[in-house]
Amino acid sequence: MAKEQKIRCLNCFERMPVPARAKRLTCPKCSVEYVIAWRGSQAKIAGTPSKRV
Amino acid sequence: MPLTRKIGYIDLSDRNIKTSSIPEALRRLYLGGRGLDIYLLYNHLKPGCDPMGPENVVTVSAGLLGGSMAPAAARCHSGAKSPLTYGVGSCNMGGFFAPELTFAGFHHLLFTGKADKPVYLWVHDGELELRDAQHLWGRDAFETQKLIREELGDEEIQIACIGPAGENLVRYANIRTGLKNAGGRSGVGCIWGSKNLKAIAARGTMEVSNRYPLEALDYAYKWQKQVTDTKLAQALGYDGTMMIWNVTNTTGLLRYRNFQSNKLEDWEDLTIERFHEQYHEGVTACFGCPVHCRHKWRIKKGPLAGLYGEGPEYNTQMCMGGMLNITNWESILQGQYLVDKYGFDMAEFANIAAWAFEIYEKGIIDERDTGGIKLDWSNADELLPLLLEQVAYRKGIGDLLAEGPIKALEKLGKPEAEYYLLHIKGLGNMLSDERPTPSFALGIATSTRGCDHLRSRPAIDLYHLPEKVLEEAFDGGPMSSDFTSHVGKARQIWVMERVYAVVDSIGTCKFHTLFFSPHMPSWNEWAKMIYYVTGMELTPQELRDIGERIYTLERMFNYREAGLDRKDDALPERYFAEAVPGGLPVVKGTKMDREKFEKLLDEYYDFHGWDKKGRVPQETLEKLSLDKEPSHML
Repeated sequence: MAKEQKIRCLNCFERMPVPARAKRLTCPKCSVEYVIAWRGSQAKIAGTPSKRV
Repeated sequence: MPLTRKIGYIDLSDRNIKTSSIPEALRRLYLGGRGLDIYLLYNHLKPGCDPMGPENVVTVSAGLLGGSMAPAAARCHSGAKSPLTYGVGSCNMGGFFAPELTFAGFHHLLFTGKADKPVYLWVHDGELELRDAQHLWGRDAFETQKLIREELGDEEIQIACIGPAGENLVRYANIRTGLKNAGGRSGVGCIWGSKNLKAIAARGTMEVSNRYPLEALDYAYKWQKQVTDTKLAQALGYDGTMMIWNVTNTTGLLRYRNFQSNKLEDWEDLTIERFHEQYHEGVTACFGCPVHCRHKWRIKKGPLAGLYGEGPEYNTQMCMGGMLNITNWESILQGQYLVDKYGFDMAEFANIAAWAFEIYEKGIIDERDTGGIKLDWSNADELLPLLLEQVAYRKGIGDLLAEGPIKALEKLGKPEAEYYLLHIKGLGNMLSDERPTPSFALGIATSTRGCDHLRSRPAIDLYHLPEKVLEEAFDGGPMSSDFTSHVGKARQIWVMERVYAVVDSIGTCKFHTLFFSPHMPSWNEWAKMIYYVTGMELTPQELRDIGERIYTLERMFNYREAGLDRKDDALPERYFAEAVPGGLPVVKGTKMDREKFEKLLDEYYDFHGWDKKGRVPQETLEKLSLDKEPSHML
């Protein structure tokens, strides 16, 4: 089973679990919402929601 | 051994050339590279000279470990009195030139005087020969390298050269080697041009033996593994320096449309992912580096189809992109290609061009000042090739922009434009917005070559690492994990200034240091590698002291040549007057606090042992064995 991925909120540095293939993620601590990019099985923060995404 | 590598003295005025050994005593004080170069500048340059005149000197060097088994010992340094700051001119580039200079028998070259017509220096197996370069004058940086290889009949020759911008005395002209390696900051290429020095070609077959070869080999392997095991190196090997952009843009730490925004809200077009999809063709590396952080790119279709190069870097992404309101990759890649070809510093160009756009927007200048060009942000991508050409050849408004911040303001003669031109000591601010990060802000304010991140930036300050980890990395505390805090940030800058001074002097890459990761090689590793390669025993503390000596001598040079002291360790007024308009909540609304900044400066001077004016007192001079400089040992 794949290891659960966590990424850190850039605002409050809370470690957030990332559901598989999630495209959006909201920090449970500070409520900042992120757009998530995937490279293979690796998740990373691409940005915050824009007009297009 | 690297210690057998010599220094060559080249008087361009009378073509007199001589060589000399480098005393080990001086290696113990300054190592090589940037360290020995500032020693040479301090000793050989006539105090107070005109940077563009024959009394300025140019140094070119490899680091102490250049060309040895040490990983990434590829860096070339070149120094002079800067035509932008009138203080330390100092630039550094990777590639293969510095190792080849080492194989050819030399670690340092010192140019004095001025040639009566263009020349290049041919360095080969212990020999130095000045050759005519009139046929190369006017050639771009790519053509120059190709023509010299053809002329000398050897494809393996490595060349450092200037392009048309250096010939035309663009004050931020750089030196170049290969397709994209650039010694970019502080205008050293302009000084090469002022001396009619077009290029240096190096080819050597002289052995670089190591004092303890088996141990050196074993230790180089450990070093490589230490580097490549880090997540940072793995990310760099895939994305290059652009790996940072998503994080810094999302947070709001960048600089758009001069200084009007700190975040690109519609960010999709400028991502590394978009670059990978359409333009990436592979990666390559500098001599002896396992990280291979440099992209190779090609535009495959459209009007620019066939254009190719190496890079781009994070710096390119912003300097040819965000700073100028450009978000299409093809304009950015074309811009990079052109600065590589013409040979000037894209960061300095972007800063002064963005200023011109903003003062045009604000009505301070108009088409009478720009030669009829409408400097409208929305047209920046279309104007970019024209502006780059105008700067390189000093045509139209390019002649003003080619002057760099201080002279351009003088020539324009509009005092109301000054507030919008961001620079420190005469060197333009780069792509970052340092208002939310006191450590970064202090670093650019105190940098000895003017505003620049590569004198001290502790990028790991952004990671929110545990305080214990930070205190270990930075030799003590207290140290805050919060990048908006002032606690421990003076210490961070003090430590990083010494780290970079030493790394620039042994000639390895900053990406193999604390810059991006606390797990990278540091004082202990450098001491061991120096010992295995050269046999010189230096303790980690002695290396720290060498870093302090180098940085302090640069400080002394700046004071002697330009009177730079505390009043010049300053941030542009905008850092205090305007709050950051965007970004994440942790950043939005922040700006620099003048009182806190001044306290940070006091703390920083205390670490260095300088006085409240930022000058070097006698007791510090004595402690660092600088009290007898200039000592003329070389």
